[in-house]
Amino acid sequence: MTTYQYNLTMPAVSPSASGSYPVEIGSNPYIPSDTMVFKLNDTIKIKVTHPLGHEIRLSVSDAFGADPNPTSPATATYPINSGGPTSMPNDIGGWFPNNTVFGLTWSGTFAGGATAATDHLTRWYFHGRDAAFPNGTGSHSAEARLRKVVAPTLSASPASVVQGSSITFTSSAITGLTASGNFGNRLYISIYNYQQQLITSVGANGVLWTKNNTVNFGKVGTSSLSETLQVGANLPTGTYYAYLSHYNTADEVNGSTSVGNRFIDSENRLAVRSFTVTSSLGDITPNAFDFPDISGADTDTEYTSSPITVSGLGSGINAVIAMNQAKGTSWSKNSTSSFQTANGTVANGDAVRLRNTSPLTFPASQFNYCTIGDRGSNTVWMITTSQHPSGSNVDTVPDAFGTVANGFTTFSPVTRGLQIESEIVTMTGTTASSSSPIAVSGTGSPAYHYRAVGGTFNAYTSNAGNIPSGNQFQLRSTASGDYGGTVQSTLTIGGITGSISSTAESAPTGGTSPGAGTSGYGLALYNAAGVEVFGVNQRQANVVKNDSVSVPATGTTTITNVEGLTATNFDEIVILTSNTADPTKWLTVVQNRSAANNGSFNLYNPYSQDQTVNYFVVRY
Amino acid sequence: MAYGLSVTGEDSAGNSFYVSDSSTTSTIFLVPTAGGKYVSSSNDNRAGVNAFIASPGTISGITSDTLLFARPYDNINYMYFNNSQPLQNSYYLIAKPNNLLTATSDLNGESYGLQVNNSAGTPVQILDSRKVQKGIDILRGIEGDALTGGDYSTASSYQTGSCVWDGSSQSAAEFANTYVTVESSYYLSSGGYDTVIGGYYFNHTIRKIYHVGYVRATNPAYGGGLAYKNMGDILVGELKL
Repeated sequence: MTTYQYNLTMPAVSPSASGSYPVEIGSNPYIPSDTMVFKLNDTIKIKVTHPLGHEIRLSVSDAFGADPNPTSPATATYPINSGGPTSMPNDIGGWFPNNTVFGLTWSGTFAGGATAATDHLTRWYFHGRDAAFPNGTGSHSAEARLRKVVAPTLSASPASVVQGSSITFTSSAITGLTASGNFGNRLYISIYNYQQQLITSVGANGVLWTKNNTVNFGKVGTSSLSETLQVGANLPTGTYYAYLSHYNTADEVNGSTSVGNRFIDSENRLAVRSFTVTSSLGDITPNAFDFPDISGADTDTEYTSSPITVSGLGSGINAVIAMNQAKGTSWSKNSTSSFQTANGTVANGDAVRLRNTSPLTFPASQFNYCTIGDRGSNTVWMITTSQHPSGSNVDTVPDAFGTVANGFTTFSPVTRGLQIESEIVTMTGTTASSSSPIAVSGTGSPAYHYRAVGGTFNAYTSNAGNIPSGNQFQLRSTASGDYGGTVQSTLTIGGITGSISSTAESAPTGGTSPGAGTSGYGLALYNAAGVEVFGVNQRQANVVKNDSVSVPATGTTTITNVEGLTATNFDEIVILTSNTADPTKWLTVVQNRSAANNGSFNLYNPYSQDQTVNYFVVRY
Repeated sequence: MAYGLSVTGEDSAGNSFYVSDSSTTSTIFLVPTAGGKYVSSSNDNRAGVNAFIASPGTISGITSDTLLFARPYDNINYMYFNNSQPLQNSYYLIAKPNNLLTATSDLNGESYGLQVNNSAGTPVQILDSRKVQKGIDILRGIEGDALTGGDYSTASSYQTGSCVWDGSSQSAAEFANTYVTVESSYYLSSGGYDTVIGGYYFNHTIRKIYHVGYVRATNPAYGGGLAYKNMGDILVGELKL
């Protein structure tokens, strides 16, 4: 649906001069009998200029092939006098301003009854006087002959051509076009690669047209429907497209006066046929490959990709491997150290690595392109720097953070396996937008996480990384799983450290409280049989607290207000537990005995379902 | 304390221990209720006071407020409990908080004695001598995870690590009146595996009690198995009657 506009200046030939009417049709040798060629659904326009600047008269008589008539300009703009028509199209007699553009979209059904699909020609006539209307006599005239060509189909034989061989393109019968001559009334075939780049080369690296061997396109006509293309021996393999197009005489296309190639521009295309150029060597198309991108890279640092293994090439094929050398990408074959930028060859089973230097700025990406055989020019290995600067003027050393107030201290005794977290610390002292290296070391399965202020922590990790300036971080240390075991976990950020140390609880003693002694004084109760059943000479059981509580799956429930309980008085208070609701969940762990909260302890449920646990605290 | 009653005992090592203290707010004496006494083989009323249970039976009178002690019959070594149900014929003691005993049915028949209330906002009676007819002298408290497990064995490593109570200095009668808590006990034989948690082995001859805890294939041919430590705390007590 292209809009073509032909700018027609009426020659000085009187309409009444015998044999000279009309005089202007088209003077182009490529369409010698027509003014303009176009396609179905295109819009055609004729801008008519009177050399003397006077009015223009449109004459569209069906008797002279003027069907369909122009449908523009709109009615309101004409006629300029009382002697003209009152609507468009309404045959002759209308006088229009100089430089009027007459137009028609070639689609649908025309006012005269014909359809755009079956009608291929219309003829519009223009006249002018030697003085302004209504004075003077006829002195200028011209005809615009407008021809629609029906898009034929284009076939290729063979559909796949080997480098160095030929391929013949054949158009189906051409309808609408005037009979072709040596140059005139032709359609043209041009070749584009899959990137829609015109193949202009002639010779081994390009193509050569048999009939039209000095230019970049072939040609067919009504009496010569085929054209043969010789494919260069070194023409890159892959998919190509052959486009069939018509000649374009327009002075303006789609509103622009920048008119491109009048033979093969995309707006002139009538048909397309794809075909494949294959290697004369065999299958040089490897299986798809991809080099994993690198993110969070430091600036100006050399990185090497993970290797890919070449596969899918034909047996014995050594395919060319090439980098986009403007990017400085180098590559290696079966080596982690020997890299080159120059092209080379690889075969199935070879391990290929890419290497390049990350950008100098942040954040930025270095794109690296690698082509193997005829695959991969769109495969990108990208190195992206992180959101931080680098350089000697950047301070990545934070202020000291390993203080007791921040939770970097020693904890003892703690429940075996207890996870201890530092306070959440906001990193200060580093350059804005910089990042500092962060790592953990030591024992106790150290791990850290960080977040932007107000953000969400990432998952705890023990892997070294970089923490952006101003972020908040936290160290986690896990107490030893052994009784009395000690650990020390250290967090290092930009060379500054903080540590959490802990000593696990001591091993159970098994109960060391001796039995009651024998005293001759104090309180004693005797029963009727004279047996002492209560008093200072017996350690009697007393219930301190008992209840049934729900303990969440893999979680804890804290029991408080356990009178007399301390962290260490195992020889005075015991805590008995049971699960009568589901005895199969027999394991309940008593943790964190403490004098805090008027005596407290935790019940830990190791199962993946909530449990109802009975506990019975006995003082004796 | 400005007033009230505080009684502190002294153990054989000279350390003090809690007996009763009216200044507490929630520590309440556990009064032994069920339980009979062994004096001699000819004078053993343990089975005569409704304080024995034949496997598999459910002991009556067990609530969330009671503390259960048990021991197997004198001719039975193993004792496994599961949710207050023994897997062997057993004797038992039930201790109940003083304040939950009733003044009409649980009295010893006397109308005088000693009562102690605590200092809770609403005072609770933590001791009433009229309700006390029996005593349990706690011989030992054992912290969870302190005892190695496994099945009973004569191996010294097992006997050293799993000994709950060494009553070799006790008389036969004292050992026959020695009980252990079974709150955290569990037993299951299913799927070709036996699981014993908080089980006991009573060696009546040398008067020792051992902890038994393991999971292993029912078929010995499969061998192996895991030893479990005592998952919960344990109390050992001697009935005084």
